[in-house]
Amino acid sequence: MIDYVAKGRMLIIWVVLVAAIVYLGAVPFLPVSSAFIFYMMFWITMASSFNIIYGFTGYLPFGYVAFYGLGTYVTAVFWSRLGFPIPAAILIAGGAGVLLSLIFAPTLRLRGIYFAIVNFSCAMALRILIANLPEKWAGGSFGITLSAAYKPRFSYYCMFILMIVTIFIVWKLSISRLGIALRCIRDDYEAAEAMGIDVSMCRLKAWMLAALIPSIAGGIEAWHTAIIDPDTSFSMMITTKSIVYAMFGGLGTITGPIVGAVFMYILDDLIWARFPILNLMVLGIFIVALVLFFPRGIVGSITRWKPTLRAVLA
Amino acid sequence: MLLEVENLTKKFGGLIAVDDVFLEIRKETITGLIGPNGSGKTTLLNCINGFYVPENGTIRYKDKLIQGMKPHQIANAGIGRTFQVPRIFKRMTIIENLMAPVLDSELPDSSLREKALEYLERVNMAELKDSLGDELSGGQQKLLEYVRLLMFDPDMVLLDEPFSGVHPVLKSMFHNEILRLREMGKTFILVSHDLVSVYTLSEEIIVLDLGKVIARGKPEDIKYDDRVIEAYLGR
Repeated sequence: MIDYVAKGRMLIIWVVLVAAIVYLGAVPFLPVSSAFIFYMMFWITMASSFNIIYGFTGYLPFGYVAFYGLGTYVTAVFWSRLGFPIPAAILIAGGAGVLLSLIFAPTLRLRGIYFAIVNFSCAMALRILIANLPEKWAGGSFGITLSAAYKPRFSYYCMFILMIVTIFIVWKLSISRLGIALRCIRDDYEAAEAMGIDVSMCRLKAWMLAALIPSIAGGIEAWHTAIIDPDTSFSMMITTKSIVYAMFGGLGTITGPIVGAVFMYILDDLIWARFPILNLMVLGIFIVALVLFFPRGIVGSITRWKPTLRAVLA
Repeated sequence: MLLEVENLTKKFGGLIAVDDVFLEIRKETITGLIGPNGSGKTTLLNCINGFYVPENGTIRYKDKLIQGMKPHQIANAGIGRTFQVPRIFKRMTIIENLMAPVLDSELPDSSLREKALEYLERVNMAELKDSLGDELSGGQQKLLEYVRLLMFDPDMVLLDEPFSGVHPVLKSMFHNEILRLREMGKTFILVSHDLVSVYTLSEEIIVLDLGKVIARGKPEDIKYDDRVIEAYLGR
């Protein structure tokens, strides 16, 4: 009987998953706003990749926007200044993000709020550096336009693929030995070390992975919007929303950041539409209420209430 | 000798927590390490397992210098430990907790999970395999830490206060398990304030006070040693 229930649940998950993939794949041909769905997929990707370093490993990178911002600029510069095709520029952006993660890697020795503050400072330093690069390279405060490369349908499908790959990576990670090691580090890194887990190496792998995805996402988003500048590429709202969406859904779970990003993105959009001036304040009140009543996020709260769902949702 | 510690000194600022300590631990023995609070027992364990880097001295395990090595390297060399307060992975399931020490194993996950389930059945916790660590009681957390140690299967075990806050039935089980594992070839350093347990289980006892070794010997000698009585009760 229990087997049938579990199999039934898995079947439901698969049906929902396939239906969602088919729907998202068909969006550019349907009478719905593909830009709205594009950004929903973007936030699912950002929240899921943020989940790798915070939800799984316990490191809160307040400067997470650095990887996204670098991705936007590397893509734009390699396309507009060096003549690379956009897909190649996006892949190079991913590589640049990983390189940046290695440069920031020594900060992983810090923990808690110290890591968060230093990481935030690194992101701000990068923003200042890019904003002050010669205008002929990085466009200065005006940024760079990519209007000649504008192909929203292509960029939509790139984001679609990135989102699926990201969710797949998070799923594989959650069932892998590396995933167990990361969660051990998150819960108690000294106990993890005492169990023979190479904390430095495992967290570096997570960090590089968590840097790769937003860098590519930044490149795709730059292509989709066709314009970038330092203020939007390094906006703290990128980090904030990644944190809030992932937390709201449930950190350290596979489905949490997806549920959180979908729900909060729709809520955010509704609030923008109804409260164009006070939107941030109203959103803030919602976030405070959600953290108070669902400290483990939606998925975390559900699995705590019904542990048998853990195998399906977490 | 399995473990040799020579002239080990660990300082925290001006405080000398471990002061020129000398230890020799033979294979397949249980060595009690006792002393009043603040005498340096846990600091000594932390030096042995690599959490602290000592300022002076050497630590040899199986004739290999291990001081300066990272804790995970020392663990993989065969030294396992438990903590004063159980340090289980609280947001992970019990099975995942037990997988933690065998992540480098070449055995497939399914075999490791089977082995973990066997151990859980031995301590009547098999039905809790999918529960999270923070859903366990204090006693169950102690048991989980013990089972995790069995999964880890180190040659040498540093036990830090294994009997504190433990029900007498569970304590008796731990006694039997320590003796059973010793028979199987394991070596123990047992830190505990439960002197009856230490006297019962240990072949040799080392007494620390203010970071220094003030006495060492067989339990029957240590029991009546004036320096030990003085360290515990004062003059």
